[in-house]
Amino acid sequence: MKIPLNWLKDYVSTDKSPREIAASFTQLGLMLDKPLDNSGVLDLEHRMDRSDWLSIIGCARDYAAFNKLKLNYPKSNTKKLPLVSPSEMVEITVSTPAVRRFNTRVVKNVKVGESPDWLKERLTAYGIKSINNVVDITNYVMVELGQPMHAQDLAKLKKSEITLRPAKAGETVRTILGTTVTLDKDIFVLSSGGVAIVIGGIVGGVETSVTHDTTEIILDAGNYDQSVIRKNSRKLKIINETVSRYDKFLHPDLCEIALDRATYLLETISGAIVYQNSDYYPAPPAPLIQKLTFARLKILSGMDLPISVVKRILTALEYQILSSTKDGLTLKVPYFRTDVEVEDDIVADILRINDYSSIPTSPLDTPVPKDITPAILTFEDHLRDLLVSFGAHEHITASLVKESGDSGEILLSNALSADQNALRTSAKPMLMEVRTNYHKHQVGVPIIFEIGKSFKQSNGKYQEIRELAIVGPEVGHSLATLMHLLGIKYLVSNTGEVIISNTTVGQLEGGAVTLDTALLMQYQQKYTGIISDFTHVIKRDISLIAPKHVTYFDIASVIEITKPNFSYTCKSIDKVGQDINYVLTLTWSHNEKSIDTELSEVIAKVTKKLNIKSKT
Amino acid sequence: MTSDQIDSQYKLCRESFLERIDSIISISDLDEFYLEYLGRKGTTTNLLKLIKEMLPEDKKQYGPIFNKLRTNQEEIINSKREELNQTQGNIDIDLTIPGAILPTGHLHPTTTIIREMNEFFRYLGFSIGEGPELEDVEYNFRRLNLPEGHPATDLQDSLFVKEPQYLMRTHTSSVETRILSEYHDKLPLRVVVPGKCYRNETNSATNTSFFYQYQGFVVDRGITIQHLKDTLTKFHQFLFGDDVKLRFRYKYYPEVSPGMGVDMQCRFCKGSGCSVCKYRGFIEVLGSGMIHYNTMKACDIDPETYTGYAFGMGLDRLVMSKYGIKDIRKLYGGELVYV
Repeated sequence: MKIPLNWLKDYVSTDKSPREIAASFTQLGLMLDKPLDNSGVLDLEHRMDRSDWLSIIGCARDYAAFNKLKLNYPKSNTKKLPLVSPSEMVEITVSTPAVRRFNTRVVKNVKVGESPDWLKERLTAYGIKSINNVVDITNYVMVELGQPMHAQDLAKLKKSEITLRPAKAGETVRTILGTTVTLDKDIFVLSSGGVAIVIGGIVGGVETSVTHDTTEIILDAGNYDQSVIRKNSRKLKIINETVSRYDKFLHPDLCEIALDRATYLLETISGAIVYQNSDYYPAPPAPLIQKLTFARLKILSGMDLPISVVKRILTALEYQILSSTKDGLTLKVPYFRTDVEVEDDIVADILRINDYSSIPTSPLDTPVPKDITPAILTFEDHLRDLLVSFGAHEHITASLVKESGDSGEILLSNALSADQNALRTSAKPMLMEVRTNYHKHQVGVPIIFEIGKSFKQSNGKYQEIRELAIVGPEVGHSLATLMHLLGIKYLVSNTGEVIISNTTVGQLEGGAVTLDTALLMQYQQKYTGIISDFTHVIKRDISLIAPKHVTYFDIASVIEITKPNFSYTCKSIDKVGQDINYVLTLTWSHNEKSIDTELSEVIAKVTKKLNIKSKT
Repeated sequence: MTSDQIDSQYKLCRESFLERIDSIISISDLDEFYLEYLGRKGTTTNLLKLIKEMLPEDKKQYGPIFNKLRTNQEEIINSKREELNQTQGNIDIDLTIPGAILPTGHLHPTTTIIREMNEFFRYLGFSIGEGPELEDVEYNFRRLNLPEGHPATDLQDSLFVKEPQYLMRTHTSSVETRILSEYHDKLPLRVVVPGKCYRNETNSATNTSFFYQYQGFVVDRGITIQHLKDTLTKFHQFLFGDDVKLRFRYKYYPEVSPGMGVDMQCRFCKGSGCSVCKYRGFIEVLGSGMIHYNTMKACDIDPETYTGYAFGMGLDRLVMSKYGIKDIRKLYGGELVYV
C-alpha cells in the first residue's frame, strides 16, 4: 500500500519524519516494503487480512491510535439524497450469488473536465494517472476509503437498466485498457440491454466510459464475493487497484460511505446534482459483537495492562464499548474490521497499538515435556555420520522431476513446467546427475549420498519412502562398510536386491545403492563392533571351485541355511580355467571345539547343494 | 631357576618391551631395539633359551607362552617399522611435514545448520518432529485456520498432486497440526520441525520449487507471547552472538493470533540502511505468534486451558549466508563441491 505523506496528513496531524512515520507503520503491521526515498510516499507491505489497510484512512486510523493522535475524517454528504424520478430510474437486476451489494446513484449536470491540482497531485503521488474529474474522484475515494467505484455514461447504456449476471460462454468485453477479453460462465458481468459492458469487480468497459461530453452518469459501489473476484482476475490475468481491493473481504456498509464521499466531491468539484438510484442489498450482515475478558488478555500477553489503556486503544480503533465489567468488555466490532474472528484478534489489536517492543521477555518455566522425537530421525542422522566417516559427501536434490514413466510414479496436477511434473520415485537419478556434474567439471567423483523422501502410489494410495541413496566408485564397498558399522549381516542377491534376514531392504545396481532407512533401522545392532577384551579368533579358509553361473550369493545362501555359528567373508575370487575359485574366510570368535565338524558340514552342504568342488 | 623367577623375568621382558616401543621414532633406533630383545643375545631370546633347561612339565607350560611372546614382539616391531617407513622413509622424523588428509566426507550445509539449531532447541527441552511432505489440505490449510477460499490457499501457489485434496506441503506448519492433533491428549509439547516444503515456482537464483523451513511450537498451560519473545531472542543470540539486535512487531499470519514478525538489525550497516537490507536497516528473519484459537480447536485442544506459540523461518537464506553461497540452485542442484 502506498501512502503519500501529504495525503496521510489530511487525516492526522504529525510533524514526524518519513523514517519515524515508517517505523510506526512497521510496528503496526504495515512494514516498509520499499526503501525510503525523497518522493514523500511510503510503500508499505500489505498482508491479506486487513481490507481497511488498503485505504489511506484505514492506515491513518491505526497510525493515530498508535501515536495517540486525533483522526480527522474527510467531508462527506451524508444527507438523505432525493430519489431519482421513476422515469429516469436505472433498473438494477442481480442474478449472480457473487454480488452482496450493488448501490447506485444517478448524477446529473456533470461538467467533465480536468481535476483540481490537489486531486491530481494526490493521485499522481499514489501512482494513478489523472483522466478527468469524474474518473479521478472515483479513484480518489477508492484509495482514500478502500471502496472501488465505477462511473458510467448514462447516455451510453443500451437501455436504462443494468443487470449483473454470469457471462455467456464466449461473450466479450472491450475494456478501458483497450483489450478485448473473452469471458466464460464463471465470470460475472454488468450488462445493459443484453450487452456486457463491464467485467464485474475487475475492469470497466470502454463502451460506457465517462468522456468529456458526458453529462449524466450512473455511479456504482458494489460488494462482491472476494473469492470469485480473486479466481476470475487470476484467470483473466488482470490485476489492478480495483481487483487488489475487491479480492479482499470488504464490508458492504462501505459502499454507502464511499458513495457519500464521492457525492460530496462531485457536488463541490463538478457542480453535479446527485440522486439515489437503486441499492441492491438483500442481506445486510448483523454487526459483530465480541467479548473481551481481561483474563484472556493476561493469559496471552502475560501483562497486566491498565483497563484505561485498553479502553483508550479500543476506542481509538473505533470499537464501540457496549458494556464494561470488572472481568471484561462487550464490544461492537467496527464494520471495516472484517478480519476480526475471535477474541484473540482484539488482544492482538491491544498489544499492537501498545507496541510489541514494550512486551517483556520471560523464559519458559514449565517442566520439560516428554521427548517425542521419532527414532527414525535419530537413526538417519546416525547414518549421515557413518557415511561421512568413510568419505561420503551429502547432497540434497530436488524431489520434483521430469515424468519418467516408472510404475507407481505420482504426477502433479498443476505443474508449472514439464521438467518438474512428477515426484521422484528415488533420489538415485538425481545423484547420478550430480555425478555427471562432477565429471563435467573434471572433479574426481567421491562417494555421494542423500537421505530423504521419495514417493510412490499403489492401489490409489500415496506412499512416502524414506530412502538412503549412495552413488560413487565401488559402491558395493560403501554398502559393505555401512552395514559393517551398523552391525548388519546382509547379502546381495543375483538380481542386486540387498537382503537382510530374508527381507529386501534395498537395491544395488548401476553404480548406486538405495536402501529403505526405516527397514534398515529395524536391523541395526546398536551396540556392536566394540568389545572389552581382545579375543583370539579362529580363522579357516575354504576354497570352492564353481562354474561361472554359481555366484557368491548362491554359496552364501547355502551357508545361511546351516545357521552358521561363524562369520564369513569372501577373501578372493580367481579364475581357474573355466571355473571360479572362491576363497572364503570363516571366522569363529571363540575357540569352539566343534569348529572342524562345522567346517566339514558347511563344505559338504555347499558342494552337494551346488554340485561344486572344494579344494579345502 | 624357580618358577617365580621365570615368571618375573617373563613379565619384565614383556612389559619393558611394550613400555619402550612407543618412544622409538627412527628406524635405526628400532633396529637397535630389535637386537636388544630378539637378537642372538637379546632378552627375549635368552628367555627362550631357558626352555631347553626346564623340566618337561615346565616346558609344556612355558614353551607356548614364550614362543607367543616372541611372535607378538616380532609383529609389533614389523608394524612399527611399517609405520616409520610410511611417515619418514629411512630418515629421522620431520614433524614439520604436513600430514596427509585422510578420506572423510561432508554433511550438506543445510543439515549442518539444522543440527546447530536442533542442538539449541534440544537444550531447551524440545523434541524434533517430522511429518508427510505429500500432505492433505486438512492439515496443510484447514486446521491452520485457512478455510476454503482463503487467499493463502490459492491453487496457483501450491503444487497439487490431486486437486483439491492432496498437495505438496507448503509449509512445515502442517506438521504442527499433525502433532497437535496426535498429541492433543498428551500435552504439553515442545517441538521443532525442520523440513522440505514446496511452492509452485520455476527455479531461479533465489527460488526453487522446494525450500527448507524450520518450525517450532510450544503448547502448555500459561504460555504467553513473552515466552515466545524470550525463546526467539535466545535463539538468535545462539545463532549470531549476544550482540544481535531484534525488532518485534505485529504481523498477520492466518494460523496465529496475535501474530508477530521478527527482524534482525542488519549486521552490515548496523541499522543505518544498505543494499544488503534493502535500505530498511533490518532484515526479516521469521514469522511467529500465539497459536490461533481456531487451530487449537481444530486439533482438539481446549484453547481456554492451553495456549501455545509457534514460529517458522526459511532456512535457505541463512544457510547460503553462512556458507557464502549465492545461488540456491547450487545448494540443491548438486553443484556443491566439498573442499
